[in-house]
Amino acid sequence: MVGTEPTFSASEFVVVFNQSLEMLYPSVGITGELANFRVSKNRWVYFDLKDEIASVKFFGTVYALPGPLEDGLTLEVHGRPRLHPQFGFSVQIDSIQAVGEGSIKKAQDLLARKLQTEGLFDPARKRSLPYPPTTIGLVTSGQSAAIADFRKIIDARWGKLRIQLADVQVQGVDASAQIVQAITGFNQTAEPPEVIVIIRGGGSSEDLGAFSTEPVVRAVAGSRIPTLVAIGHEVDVSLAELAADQRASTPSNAAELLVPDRIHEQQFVAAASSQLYRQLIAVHTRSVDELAQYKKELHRSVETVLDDAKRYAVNSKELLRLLDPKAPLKRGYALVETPEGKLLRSVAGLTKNMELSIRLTDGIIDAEIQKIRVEK
Amino acid sequence: MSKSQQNQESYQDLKASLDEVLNKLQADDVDLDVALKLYEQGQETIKKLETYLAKTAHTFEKFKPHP
Repeated sequence: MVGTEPTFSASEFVVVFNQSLEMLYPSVGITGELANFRVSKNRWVYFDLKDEIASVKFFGTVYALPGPLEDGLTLEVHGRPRLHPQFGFSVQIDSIQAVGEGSIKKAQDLLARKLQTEGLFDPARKRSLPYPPTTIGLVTSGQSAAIADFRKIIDARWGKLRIQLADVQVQGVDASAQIVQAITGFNQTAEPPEVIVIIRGGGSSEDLGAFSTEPVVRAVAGSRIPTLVAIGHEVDVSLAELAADQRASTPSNAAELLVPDRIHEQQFVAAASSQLYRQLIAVHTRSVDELAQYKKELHRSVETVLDDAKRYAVNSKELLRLLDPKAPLKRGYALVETPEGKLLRSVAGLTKNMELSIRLTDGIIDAEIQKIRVEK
Repeated sequence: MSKSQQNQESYQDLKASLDEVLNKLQADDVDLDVALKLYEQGQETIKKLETYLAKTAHTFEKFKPHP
């Protein structure tokens, strides 16, 4: 009835209205299609969420954005409804996430294109992980099956490693901020782990959405500590995985990539040890065979020298025999000399009655020339 | 060469020594007396190499992998 309802001034009404709203709905979540999205001065965000009948205005800062947005996406926005004294009713944004497969994928694609252009997924940025690490900074839900699987495989393959756990929500509106805080925390700690591992088991696109928000992806890309990210199943690829130094298909796969299999390594070392020993023996055997060859060669070389020396002696003996001036005497030849011992080879210069010595094989005849006959 | 000096000779040194003896022995104009001396020298070096190999074979036993 007119006259019974309370009457306020405009400003009083705004105060009362906001107080009432704060009591009833301090925070709400609203789902709708994004419209009239705009960013002002690189700081303020304005948009509407609409459905077939109504449209609600939203206002906030760019820090609440999960990534690039465009009109048409279906979003779930959490915030505080307020009536502004001058600008009217709007919801002050606390968090935004895409909902529905199509919107989630589209939002992810928009963000991926943006970050790809910035080079966050560049393979050249990837660092190798320590293998194995001595300490791991694990970002996941402390109550999840993923952490149990991860720890079990680490222990089975390699043994107890020091794992520092940052227990975070891995889905929902608060997940993104908690994951970012965990990564930042590990990077700032006095004794940082050697690798940060972010894992989460399988789920829907909405469940895994936090790992494709811009703040989380930038935190992974900007981590000074190398990162390994494994989200969902093999077919799920979050943007955080693309930005990480290494991606694993599942949390179990992450554990397998992080540490070697101790039994396999022991077998490898044993095989290498045997191989090394066999090589050593092979080298030794080759040396022994080589030495046997050397011995033969030494014998052959000195035998060659001896054979050459023998042949020389035999040849020299024969040559001497042939060159013996007394050899012709045995064949019936004689040497004719003057009494002075000069050997005569010609009748030239000889005269009758000259004295000569004729040497035969067994003696010397002293003779006198009776007659000289010249033969032409 | 003294025993301690002999121990210090590496396998490579002994092999190089033997190679030198063989090269000289196989030269065209090698004198017989020189050849006989070289032969004795070669035999000594071979004995050293054999001793060396026998010692290393003994050492290798330590490296044999255990089953």
